[in-house]
Amino acid sequence: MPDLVELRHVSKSYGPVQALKDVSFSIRAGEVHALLGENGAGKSTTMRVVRGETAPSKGEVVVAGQTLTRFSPAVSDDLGIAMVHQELAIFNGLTVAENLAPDLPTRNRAGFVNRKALNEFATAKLNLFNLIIAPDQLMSSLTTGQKQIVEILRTISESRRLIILDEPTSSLNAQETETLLDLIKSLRAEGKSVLFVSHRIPEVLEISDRITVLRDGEYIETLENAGLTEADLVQRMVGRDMGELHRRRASSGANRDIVAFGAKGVSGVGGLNDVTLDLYQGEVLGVFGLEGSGASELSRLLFGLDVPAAGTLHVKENVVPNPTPLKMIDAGVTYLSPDRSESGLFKYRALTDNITAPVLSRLSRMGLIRRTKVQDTSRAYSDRFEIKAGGLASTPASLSGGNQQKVMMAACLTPDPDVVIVNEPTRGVDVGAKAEMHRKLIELAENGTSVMVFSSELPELVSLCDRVIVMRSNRIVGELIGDEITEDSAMTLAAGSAVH
Amino acid sequence: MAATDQSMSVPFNLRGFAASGGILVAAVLLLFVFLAVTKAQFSAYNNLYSLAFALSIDAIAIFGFTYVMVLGEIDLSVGAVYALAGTLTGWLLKVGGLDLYPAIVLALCVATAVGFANGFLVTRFKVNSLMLTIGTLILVQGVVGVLATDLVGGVYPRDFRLLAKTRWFGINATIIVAGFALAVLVFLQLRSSLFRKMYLVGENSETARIYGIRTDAFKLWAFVASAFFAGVGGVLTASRLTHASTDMGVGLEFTYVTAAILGGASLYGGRGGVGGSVLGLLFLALILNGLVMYNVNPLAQQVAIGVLLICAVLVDMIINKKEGA
Repeated sequence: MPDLVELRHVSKSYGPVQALKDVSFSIRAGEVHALLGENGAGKSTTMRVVRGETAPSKGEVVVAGQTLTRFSPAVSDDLGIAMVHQELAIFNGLTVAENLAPDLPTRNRAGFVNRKALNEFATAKLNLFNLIIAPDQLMSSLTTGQKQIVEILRTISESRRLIILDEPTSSLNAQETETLLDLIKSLRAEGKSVLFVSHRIPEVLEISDRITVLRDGEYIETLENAGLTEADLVQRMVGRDMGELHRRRASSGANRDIVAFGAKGVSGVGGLNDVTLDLYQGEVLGVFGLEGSGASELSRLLFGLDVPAAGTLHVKENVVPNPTPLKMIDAGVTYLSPDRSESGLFKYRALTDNITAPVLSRLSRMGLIRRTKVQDTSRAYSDRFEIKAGGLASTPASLSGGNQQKVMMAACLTPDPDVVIVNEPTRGVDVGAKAEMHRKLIELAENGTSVMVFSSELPELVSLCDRVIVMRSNRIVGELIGDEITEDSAMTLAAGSAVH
Repeated sequence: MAATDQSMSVPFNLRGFAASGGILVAAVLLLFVFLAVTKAQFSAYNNLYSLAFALSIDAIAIFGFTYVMVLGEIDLSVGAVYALAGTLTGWLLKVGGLDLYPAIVLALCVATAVGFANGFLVTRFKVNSLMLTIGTLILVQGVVGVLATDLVGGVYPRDFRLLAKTRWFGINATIIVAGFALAVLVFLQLRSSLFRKMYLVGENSETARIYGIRTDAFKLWAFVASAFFAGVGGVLTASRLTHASTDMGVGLEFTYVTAAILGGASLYGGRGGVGGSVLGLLFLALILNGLVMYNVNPLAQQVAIGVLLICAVLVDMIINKKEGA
């Protein structure tokens, strides 16, 4: 079969961050093509390039023999390429039929919407895929899975040749997933191509014809889906050259007699289910889970950022009642924000304000800030983290990602915590800053601080942690200690097939 | 610490200049000089003194309101609460038969309770403060209307009428109180850890929460302060007006938003201060004073305020856009 879309040596960088490096593969007409890779492997960027939402920095994209010169969703629409994003773009206040045909000329002569024709059109489309959804039902009354399916149906039409699905099953239950996979199969039967991204390896194996594996923004391999096993894919997703950076720490300084921090039976409103864990003194404990596993929800609950539905937190033996961030800090726990563009920094305030924010009261006398103390503390932490800035009066907005990350880390450590909950400590920073950040975290643990690392980067967890807890479907599904911690073992647990 | 190239070239910084009030100070000075040169009656002692007197009362009333804006919220009920405190004091004196100070204290308590209700609803139920305080505004204005109708036709008792005219060291006490409070607040803005935290909450409340700052408590107390200071301003204004009026405080919230934004506050929070807000009020007062001197139709004066608010909001947007880039 001819190639519908071909990527030739595509690279893409966002500032200093290289998201894609020399990626070449093709999507054939009438195939289901899966993109597989860890978080940050470059799947989203690849999809966006194929969809025309972003132009590659280097390389070219050929669609049906024609090299693209302009990258815009409008051009892609004309070429028959559509995409369903993870965040649904639906109109909750409209009916299913109206959502299915927002731009269809189903008006009658007076210019009003011809509701009958609209519903017939929708029914036909729904029947095509054996879906039992009434066309005049309000969108808001559907389940997330049904909404997802309606949105996919909307993107399907005669002229569509390629449909890109970004993690379409991440919020679906088993039955809905089945319906969706059937839908994908019927699309293929009609000769349409599907580019499909999922973390769930069993699904990928079930429906794809070919699988392209990306890792760290690089193209690894495109495999024919014949006789492949989960293990084959896991190994290709994670199997990397462990350089100096990723060498495992030799010995653990954890004192397993002293529990520094723990959670008992913590459940969340968002679905997190009965999580119990202990963090030992001087330990580096990793928590790994793919998107939707509940790991990020857990991290917020552990710091009192969200109110748990049940369960307690304790620092050493003391239970923290109704935890709030302030109480957690007072108890000796601090928190590194997972996403510095959202929270964790005061971007337009001086570094001094940022670094000393958690300890302002301690640096004050009779409610007045002692400016020399603020200055000294800021300087000490900025030196300790080797923050490269124009001065303590400059703002984080003017710094590089790596330095912003260091400012956040400095702020987390000014209260001199016994426990640090660290989220994505090296998100979007370059290799040098990454190594530095890892060194600092290990240094902390060696000095007796307990460190909990929530990270979506397996190599990071492998090189840092004494112990790793793996989450899936809102609960802890496994624990890896010492040499058991490998990327393969963690990924196998996290992407495990059955939902228990 | 190593210096990087980022610090090397700082060209004209719009945000820095605007935030530091440079534009506003320059505008106030220009306007002042222009009026002084073109209109002799402007620089007459009586005119300047009455400007200062009126400004002092508005200044007190805008203190708390400014901090609500610093926190990224807004309190549009400020004018209604101002009217409530003033009218209720008069009502308690004339209808309730209370003495002056108990009446004032009670009226301020009621005003403050309105602020507490605003703050409570905003922090507990995450109600949008813009919409909520429009509701409070309408509700409180209704109450003021009822009270004012009761008082129609008469003036307030003498001791209440004389309150705003109280003089210390030969000048109106309100000027001294406003000036002193302004100095204290500006000092606290610069030095107090509590005020520093307030600015951090306004800049990014989620970040502030992560660093152990009780963001909701700040917002709650800012609404309380907004109502309290508006109440004080209202009591003084009622005393100055000498009789009840259903028009009292109507539209004041828009004047205050304009003044605060002119003074460097932002609808997005994290910026501004009482110094800027009072300067903003002064600017507006000079404009109105100038328009009166040039015999501009009083109804047309509103046009000027509208234009200024639009300009101020535009500048606010442009600054934020620059930051977003």
